[in-house]
Order: sequence, then C-alpha cells, then structure tokens
Amino acid sequence: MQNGPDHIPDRIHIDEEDRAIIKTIDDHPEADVRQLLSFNAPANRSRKEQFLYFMAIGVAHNTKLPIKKRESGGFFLLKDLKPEDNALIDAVAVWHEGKADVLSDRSKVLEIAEGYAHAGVRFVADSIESQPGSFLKKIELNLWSIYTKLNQESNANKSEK
Amino acid sequence: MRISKIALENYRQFRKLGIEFPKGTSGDLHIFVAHNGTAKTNIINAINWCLYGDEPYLSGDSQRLPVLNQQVMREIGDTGQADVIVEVYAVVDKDEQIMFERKSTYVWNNKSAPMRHGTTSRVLVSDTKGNTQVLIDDEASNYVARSIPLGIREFFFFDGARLDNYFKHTTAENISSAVLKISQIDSLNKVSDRLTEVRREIEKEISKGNPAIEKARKEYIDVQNKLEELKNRVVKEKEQVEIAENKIRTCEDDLKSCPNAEKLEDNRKVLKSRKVTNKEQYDKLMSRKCELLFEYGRIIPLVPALLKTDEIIKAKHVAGEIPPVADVSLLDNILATNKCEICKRSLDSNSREEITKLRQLILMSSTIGKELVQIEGIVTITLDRANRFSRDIEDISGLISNVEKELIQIQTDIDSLDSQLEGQNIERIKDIAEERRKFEKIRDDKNRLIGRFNKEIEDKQDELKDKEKAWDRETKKEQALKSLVDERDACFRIANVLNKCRDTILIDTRNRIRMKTKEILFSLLWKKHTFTDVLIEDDYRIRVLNELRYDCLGSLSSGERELLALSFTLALHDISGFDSSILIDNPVIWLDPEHKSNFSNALARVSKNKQVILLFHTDEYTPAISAILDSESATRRRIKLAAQEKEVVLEVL
Repeated sequence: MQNGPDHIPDRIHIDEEDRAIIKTIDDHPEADVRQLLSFNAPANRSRKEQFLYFMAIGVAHNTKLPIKKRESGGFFLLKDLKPEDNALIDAVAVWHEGKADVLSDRSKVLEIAEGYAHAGVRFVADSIESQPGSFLKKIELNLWSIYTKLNQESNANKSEK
Repeated sequence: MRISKIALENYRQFRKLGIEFPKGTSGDLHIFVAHNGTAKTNIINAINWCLYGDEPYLSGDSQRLPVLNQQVMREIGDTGQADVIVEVYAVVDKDEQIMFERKSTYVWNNKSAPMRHGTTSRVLVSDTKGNTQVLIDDEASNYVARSIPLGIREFFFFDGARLDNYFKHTTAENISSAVLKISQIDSLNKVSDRLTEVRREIEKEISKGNPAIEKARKEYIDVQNKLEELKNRVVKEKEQVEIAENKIRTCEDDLKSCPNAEKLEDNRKVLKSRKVTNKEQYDKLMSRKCELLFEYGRIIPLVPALLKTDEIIKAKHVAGEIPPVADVSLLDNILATNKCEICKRSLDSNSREEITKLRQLILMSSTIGKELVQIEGIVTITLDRANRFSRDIEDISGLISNVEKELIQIQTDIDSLDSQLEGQNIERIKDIAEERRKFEKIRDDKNRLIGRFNKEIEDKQDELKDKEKAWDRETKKEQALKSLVDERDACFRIANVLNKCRDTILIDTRNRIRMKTKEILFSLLWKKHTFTDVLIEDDYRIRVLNELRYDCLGSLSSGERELLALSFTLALHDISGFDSSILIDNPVIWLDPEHKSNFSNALARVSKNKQVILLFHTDEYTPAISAILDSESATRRRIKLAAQEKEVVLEVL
C-alpha cells in the first residue's frame, strides 16, 4: 500500500535494500547476533521490535536516511504498535522536528521513524560485520557509552541551573 | 630341626643340584637371589614336595607341567625312564640326623609324554651312635606328620608377598586353629569323641523296652539333630562369609593400586553435574542479559528524544494548552448560519475563510494536545526505566561473573581429578568397586543370618536341656537300669573333665603364645614405644595395643605386620617345641625402603638362634639390604638358569 497526500497509513515500511540486510541478521552465523536481534530463534523478535531497535540505533547516531524505495507490502502493520511503542515513535518525531506540531501529521511521524530505522539498519549491519569481538559486548559498551554521556550532560545541566 | 642340605635331581629346573646350608660364625642365615622365572620359589616347592607330596607355591603355568626336568624329557627320547628325587637333610638337637626323600619314576613307552610310574617316600633317622632307622611310605608320612605337621606348614614356609596380609586379613579361626594344632591335644579330643559314642550306645540300651524312655530319648535326639543342623548351617554360612571376605579383600587389593579412584570418579561426576547446572544457569543469565540489552537498546538512545518530548509537554502544561480545549461548536454555528453570533453581521468570504482556518487550528492543537496527553505517562515511565539501566546491567553482570568464576573453579577441579585419574582404567575400577559392594552385601546378609541362627541355637540348647532332664527323669524311674544309667553318667562326667582339660590347655597355650609373641615382637620392633601390648583375645582375635591402649592392628605398616607374623610364628615354634627353619620367599618385596632395612635387621637377629632361609628377587635385594644381611649370612648364592634356560645352577656370592 502506497502513501499519498490524503492516504491514512496502516503499516510501517522499510527500504527495499534493508530487507536483505535484515535477513542476514535473522540468519547470522554468530550466535550473539541471533540471540539479540533475530526474527528467528533464539531471539524470536517481532518485526515491530526489530524496527524500534533499528530506529533507536539511528537516533543514537543522530542519522536519518531517506528511504529510496519502500518495500512493497510493508514491514509490519501499525495496529501491532502498542501505546508505549507509539510514544517512542512520537518522541523521535518531536525530537527531530524540535516541536510537537508534527504529531498532527501521522504520515510525517512515521516517515521520520522509518528514516531513522533505515539508518539504524545500516549501523547495526556495520557493527556486526566490521568490528571484531563479541557483538553483545560491543552493544553493551555502546549503551554504557551513551548512558554515561547522557548522565554527564544531565549533571552539567543541573549544575548550570 | 634345621635343614643341612637339599639334594635335587631332575626336579623341575633342577637337573642335579645339592644345596648345603652350613651354619655361619655369626648366625644361620642363608640367602638366595634370583631373577623372575629362575626357579627361586621352586626351592620351597621342592621341600614341600619332598615332605608332603605337593607344591603349594607353584605358578599357574607350571602346574600343568610334570615335576620331571624338561631337558631330561628331551634327552630320554621315546623309551626309557628317569627318576625325580628330592632329599631334605635335617639335624635335630645336634645328635639326630634325618633324611627325608621322595622319588617319582617317569617311564616312556613310545608315548609323546612320559607317565609317572609310582612315587615313594622314605625317612632315614640316624642317631649319634650310627644306628639308622628306615621308614618307608606310610611310616615315613607319619614321621613327617609328627615332626612338621602339614596343618602348620604355613608357619614355617612363607610367601613374603602374602605375609603382609597375614594378620590384616586372617580370621580368628586361623589363630584358633594354630593354637589347637600346636597344643597337641588331639588325643584328648579323640578320647572325648569315643566317650560320646559309648554314652550313646548306653543310652540306646537304656531306652529299649520302655516306651516312655524311648519317647523322651527320641524327643531329645530330635532337638539335638535340629541343633546340629543349625550349627552346620552356621558353619556353612560362615564359610560363605569367609569367601565373601576373601573376595572383598581381593577387590581391595586390586583397588590399592588406584587409591580412592572410585571416590575421585564420584567427585568428578558431582563436579560434572555441577558444571552442567552452572552452565544452564549461565546460559539463562546470559539470555536475560541479552533481553535487557535489547530492551535498553531501544530506550537509552531515545532518552534525548524522550526528554525533549517531556520538556514540550511540561511547557504546554505551563501554557495551559494541556489539557486541550476542543470545543469548536460556536465556530460551527457561525459557519452554518453564515452570521456572527457576537456582532450579528453576515459573514463575507474573507471572514468565513478566517473562521475556517481558526477552526482547523483549534482542532489541530487539540489533536496534538490529546496525543501529548496520551504519551505523557509513557514518556515518564520510559525515562524512569532508562534510569534503571546501570543497576539492572550491573546486577545481571555480577551474577554472570559469579557463575563464570564457579565454572572456572569447577573446570580446574575437574582437570585436577582428570590428572589424578589419568592412566587408570575407570570402568574396571568401577567394576571392582561394584563387585566389592556386592560381596559386602552378601557378607552382611550372611552375618545377619548367622546372628538369627545363633539365637535359634541358644533356644534349642535350652530346649535340649529340658528334654535331657525329662529323659533323665524317665530313665531314673527304672531301678533295673541303674547300672546302665551310672555308666552313662560316668561317660558324661569323664567327657566333661576331658573337655575342661582341653580348654585349660588351650587357654594356657594361647597365653603362652601371646606372651612369647609380645616378647619377640618387642625385641624386634624398631618403634618400641608406639605399642604397649599384644593380645590374643578369648575369641582368638589378635590385637596390638598402642600407648593409649587402643587396638591399632589395622593401622600397622606392612613391615610391622610382617614383623608381627614373624613374631607369632617364632612364638608358635617356641611353645610347640617345633624348632623348624623359617623359609621366606620375597621377604621384603612390599615394604617401603625404611621398613625393608628394619625388617632385614630383625631377620638377621632372628637368624642368630634359628635357621632362616631367604629367597630374594634381584630387585628386592638392594644394596641397602645387602649391606645389612651380607655380613650376617652363612651362605649367599645367586640362582641362575643354564643349558637353554632349563637347568638351574648356583653361583656363590
């Protein structure tokens, strides 16, 4: 289903090229990768969960890539999103636009989320393939790095006030 | 009695050899040194064959071969004959010379293997005046039986490899049997048995013709038979217990070479099981950590976005835009009537357009407001959740680290056990351990059965007394039988006196053996202060007491146990009056170096007053042993094989 100006979206799309990357992740030989992210066992992640993870990684790298060609059929249906999932997607859109007005345009909100997820897929693929060492360890270190930086910023803001 | 010479002709590896045992200046010690398979042990076998006609220390391979020398068998060819002769020359009390001889003749009759054609034994006894008495076959055997009874030969001929276990494994019956044999009370037993037979004959006579007496007698005999049956059952069960204990000992000996192997294997199993459990726990924790990383991976990078959203929501709260005002009914009425409800004028196109825009703005603001209200709580909760990242990850990482440490320790322990178990046949060890458990169960079951039978025996003995009294009452009613009853009672009384005499002699002999064993042991012991007493208990169990008066027989070293066996034997010799030689094959083979020296010193001391013949394996006769015994020995010879390895020659050392 394609988006149009008056079209009310009912599903999330990924870039056509991302499908192959995500399949590689689903069937990756490294157990760590499968255990964290795979649609297949042992992780058994849903497509919605994968999408939200990729979106977060895109945000972590502050990178949003425009989708060149939407994959036909979509990645998952919007009805699968729970309020807590929508809240994350909304927050990304608000943060990206710097104002809440974007929330009145559902298509725009989803387009922003898809853009960050598209970038996130690439970063995850790079992380898996290019760096040596345990994938889980890298993910953990990366999270600690973000968390520490956020804490430092938070402390700096508090002291400014 | 000491052996002065052994002459062997065509006996196994001995073609024709005379071995003299002259007394030395310092003692009566004779040493043979030999490699394996050079007929060392056959010297003891030859003496046994000469005296008793058997070879108790023969190896399994040799048992299938005839005693005839194999070289002789080849030389004789298809026809002819050859004799195997062993002569043992002994001196008794310096004035009586004895020659024991056994001869077997082998005949070839065009057969591939020679047939034994009869065996004869002779004993020649010569006194100092030159009188010689010749005893042949049965007479010769009787003489041997009186001089060195077959039943106590194990107290003269030792296998050092077994001596270590002598008191460790021996039963009270062995000691009892030894004491009984040397007490020389066989004649008392025979008289007692004969008296019992006579008494029974009289009892039969008494019961004839009187049904009441006969009935009482039969009842008595019935109970007596049942009692005997029970006693026989006990004997049989005890034999089974003995067999089981022998099997247990064999298993324990087999397990000696791999100490604690079974326990080590059990520990290894426990560790392996713990490793599996810990690995499962580790995998679960890792899986949980993975879930946390995934969950926080979706939240932590979004914290700035969540904070921004939270900030906007708070600002809108301050501005009063939240909760949103969504009432556009007034504007809808104006647009519907096309007339302003405030100024009452009709709307022109510009005004209508402005009101429509205003209506859309209000609706949009309301939609955003509603959206923000919906996510406000979730944003707060998610931010709180993000704050728990460090605690959650550190907690799970701590747990994983602990399990990892345990896993490493378990693997280290397994590796350590593996190195201890390396080279051991675990399956065989398990089989042996299982066999030991099986025989331990049999032994315990049999012992319980024996206990039950013993209780029944006690009951039957009481019943027997009652039956005897009843029988006696019936018998005494018949005055005509008085003389027979008197005879019967006399038999009974005499038998009782004889039994008491026998018991007294046994106790006296036992006490004398005990005292002598203690005296000899303490004169030979190298750690004299460790032990205080040697006891042979009423149940004929031997005990060695330490300085705290605790029985420490089980904890004696191999050397000390050999010394105890030697002391006990010397005591038996002393008390029994049999001044026989002592022959020990492999005397120190199982002892550690320190005890080898101590035991050798003890043997050297014993040889001052008694002939001691020792047969060492070459490796056993170390320079340290040689340094102790060489100067004390009267003769030292090396046994070698010559002539195509079939004939023994001696080399004087």
